[in-house]
Amino acid sequence: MQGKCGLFFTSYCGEARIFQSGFQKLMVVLLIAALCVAPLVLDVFTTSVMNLIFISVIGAVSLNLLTGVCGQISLGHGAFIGVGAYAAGQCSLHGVPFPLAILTGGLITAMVGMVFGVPSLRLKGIYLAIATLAAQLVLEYVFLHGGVLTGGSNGLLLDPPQMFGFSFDTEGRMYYLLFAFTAASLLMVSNIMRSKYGRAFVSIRDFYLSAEIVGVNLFWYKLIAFGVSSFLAGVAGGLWGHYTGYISAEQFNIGLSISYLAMIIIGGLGSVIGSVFGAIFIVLLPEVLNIVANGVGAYFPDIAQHIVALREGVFGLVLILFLIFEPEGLANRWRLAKAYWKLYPFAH
Amino acid sequence: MRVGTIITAVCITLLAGLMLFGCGGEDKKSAETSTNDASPIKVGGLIDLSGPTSSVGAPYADGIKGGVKYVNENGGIDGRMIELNLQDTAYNVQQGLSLYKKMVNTDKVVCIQGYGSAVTEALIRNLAKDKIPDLSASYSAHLTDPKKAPYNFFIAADYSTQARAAIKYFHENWKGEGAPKIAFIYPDHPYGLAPIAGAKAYATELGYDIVGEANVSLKAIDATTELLPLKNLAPDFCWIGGTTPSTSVILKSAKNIGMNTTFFTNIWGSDENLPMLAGNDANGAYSNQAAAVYGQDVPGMKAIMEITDNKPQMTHYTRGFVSVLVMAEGLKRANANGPVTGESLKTALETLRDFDPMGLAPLISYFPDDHRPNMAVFLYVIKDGKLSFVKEEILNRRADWLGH
Amino acid sequence: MEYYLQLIVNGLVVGGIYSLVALGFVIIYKATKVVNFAQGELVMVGAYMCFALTVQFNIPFIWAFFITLGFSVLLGLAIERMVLRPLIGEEHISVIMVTVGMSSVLKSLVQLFWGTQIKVYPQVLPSEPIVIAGLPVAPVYIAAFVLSAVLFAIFSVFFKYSRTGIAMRATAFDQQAAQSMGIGIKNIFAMSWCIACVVSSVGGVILGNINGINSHIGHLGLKVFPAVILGGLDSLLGAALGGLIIGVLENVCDGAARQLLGLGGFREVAAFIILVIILMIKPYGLFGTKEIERV
Repeated sequence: MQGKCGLFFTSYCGEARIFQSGFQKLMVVLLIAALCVAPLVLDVFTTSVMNLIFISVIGAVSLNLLTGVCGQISLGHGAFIGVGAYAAGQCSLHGVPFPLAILTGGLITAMVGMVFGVPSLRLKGIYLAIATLAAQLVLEYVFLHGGVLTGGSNGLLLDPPQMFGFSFDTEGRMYYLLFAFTAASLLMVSNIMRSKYGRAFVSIRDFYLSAEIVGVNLFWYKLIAFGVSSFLAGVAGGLWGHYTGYISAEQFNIGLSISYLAMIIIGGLGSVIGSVFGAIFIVLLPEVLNIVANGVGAYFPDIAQHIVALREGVFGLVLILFLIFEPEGLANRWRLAKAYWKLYPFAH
Repeated sequence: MRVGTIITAVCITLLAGLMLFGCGGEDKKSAETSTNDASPIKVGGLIDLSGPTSSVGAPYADGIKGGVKYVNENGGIDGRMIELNLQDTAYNVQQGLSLYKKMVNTDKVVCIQGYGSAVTEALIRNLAKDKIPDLSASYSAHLTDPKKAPYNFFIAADYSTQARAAIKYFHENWKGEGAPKIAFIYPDHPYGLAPIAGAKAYATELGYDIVGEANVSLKAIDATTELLPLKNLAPDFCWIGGTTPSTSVILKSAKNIGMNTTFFTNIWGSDENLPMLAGNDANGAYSNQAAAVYGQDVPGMKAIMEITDNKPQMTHYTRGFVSVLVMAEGLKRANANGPVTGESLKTALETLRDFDPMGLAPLISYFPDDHRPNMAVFLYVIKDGKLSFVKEEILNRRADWLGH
Repeated sequence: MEYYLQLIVNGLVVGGIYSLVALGFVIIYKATKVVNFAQGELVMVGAYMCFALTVQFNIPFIWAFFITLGFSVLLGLAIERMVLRPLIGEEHISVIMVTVGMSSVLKSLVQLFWGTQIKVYPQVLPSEPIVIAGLPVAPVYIAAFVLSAVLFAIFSVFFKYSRTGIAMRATAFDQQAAQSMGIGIKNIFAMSWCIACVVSSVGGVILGNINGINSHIGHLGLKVFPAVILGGLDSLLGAALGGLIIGVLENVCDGAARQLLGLGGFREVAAFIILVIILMIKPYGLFGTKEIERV
């Protein structure tokens, strides 16, 4: 717990609060208010980008729980999101009300996640990463050959979410729905991190042998990590499916897994705010690149095409640069920036 | 404690109020332009310029750009220029959706020139909701059913119809004894699986003996193991539903194991690259095409050769060109009847009857309940390393074939 | 039965290519403990460089081949110096992601310089198939098999008997002890990357001969994982055998799945299911060194 200078707690409760000082609480309230007003002042396209960011935040924070906090490298996150999308989609198509469909999708994904977490009992580090890579490819195959369950090669067409007779079929309405889900998942992960489970996860990441000696049941806690992380991934997948209206096996490929890993690495492993930063960064990267390409395209028409084709290369380059120069991610930068402001003119 | 409760209560009220406010529906201004102005008509392009299909996406995009240039140089749409905004979707559905939303909401395009099945399928609902037509390069049969995909069009016969047309041609020219034997090779991919059921049903209907099928991945480097069982079954004809690299692998492996079968490929499976990749093994293979080959003697080819400075282009270029010609014809009809919106363009396209895209592709007609452009396919055979025209095979517009 | 025999022969033949790529992977892991997700892209870069020299500059193939090997050495040095050295000592996930980033960058660079069109490779080997056990096999695959065997032999000898080879193994085993014995580990890392790039280029040239090149032949890098896990991440013999075994198993599983279960396209996923099974039973593979943990 990183305490702030000047804050004195008289109870454990106070110390464990997520927002500890009055200033933090005020800022959070203002942020929420700003986000609530946003769709009314922004145009439809920007609102749609914000919606994508919300879904990505849920996915990123779930992966961060597994990889950043618990230290289990997972290359199969894209497939888990797919499982959630298909499960929630099938529930919806069979008439299950929307909130229940999302929850069911999440639970099914949690179970699948736990099944693929079983190898973590015997495998660590690289080997676990490769096992999850296998999980990703096997699940992709299942999506394509799921017959009636997944629509096979044709995919599934889904209707926009409906709750209590109210249909969320515009960007603005989806925005509020996604905002609610995102806030809930961020709170959930923050709470897990400050609970007994979170401490167990961190101990497993830091040095599992010592954790075992101290009495943390490694296998059980790793399974829980996989389960919770997959649950949230399933929720993200269900929301994605209902937002897009169409899911197919191609959407949940290894590229999706890699982009989520990039999000948590660029954002900062092991921190909730890092996941948010990472998600915003990766979702906005193609948009920024398009703007740059259009700007340059005004002067050099041909280069614009090349810049956009280099999108993947720019993504890789950004990832490499972050890993070399800022391995702890944007969360670290944020922390240093805050410290600079607070401590000026002192160095520490 | 009390301050905290008050703040929380205020926030919840604000949030609830804003939600009700925000849910009052959006201000939807559809893209429209009035009849009497000369403002440009905005069109969006969502093509894979990078990614696994970029080797055919790039020429297709060039074709679209060439088509727009040609239309604009020849008077535009009754004096109005077409303004094309072509973006790269890079085979990524999220990117495609995002670009689509930008094009429709911010740039206010009236029509989309689409490309691959991944993005096109994801857009079906959005296109219907926003009422924007999409002329795609994905020729999946279910996009032709306006009940499922009301705003999707494309200019080539769908994959299943292409397969059926080739099957009919071979049946008509079958001179052997007994029933001809046919087999199917396709990748384990939505694009490959789509036409198989319809093709098999029609083959059975015509009296073919379906001896087997095989699965060859789009990324395969060798197809010997898949082809061995087929060789033993000795099919007379075999459908290959892949893309050019996998088709080349199949043809080479077939030659290696001594398989004497007439192969016929789908539209993305053979283009000018195939004879280069497969060398002599490609000779004798039939190819389904929906547009003329560069340099062929049809009226529109002169225009294309002029725009491309006589540099040979692939058939994908011609198809992109034709897609723009069809869209331009629809725009002209819509413009003559009032403001050009996505909806009026769709209605205009559905009035096309036997529209002739300067001879570059078979005649095109759309109907309000049937978006199949035609039931015709150009059959080519690869001879001496080049695509040479055989026949234009036309089928009946059967209602039971609509959508699959 | 004869069908399965042919499957096995074909599997051995295609497995030769996997072995070639796996060899490069294992060399890097053996010396630096870095899991290289960009192995496929290194193969692709090698193929494109040789293509550029042969087709665009019209240099005779043999010279182009050797110049390609020279370029590969430079590429290996550049990668090690710029990308891997700053990450010495970082955790596994960072190193994995940096190689993933590198694979994207390499793919984009190739697309930038050579476009996205499929390129046809100059055919240097005869195209008449040789018949083995009733199965016609293209000479390209025989060449791949022979080359993997030759390279494997060369590197086994190198790692076992030469000073540098032993130095590389020592570095992989314990960096600090190696440093205190006077081994310059930066040079060792650079050398291992250069060797891996050279081996990958050879693989790339072979691959190009099979079916032309495009910017997506790098996906072969993913196929390599089952092969190296089966053989053991740090065992050269394991890489060579693992590639062959995976090639055979892939074919056999695919054939069996089609005949017994009616499932199509199983071969793509068969290798990875085998991978998971191996990981559960024998995580260190057939020939890998077991990591014994002392509490």
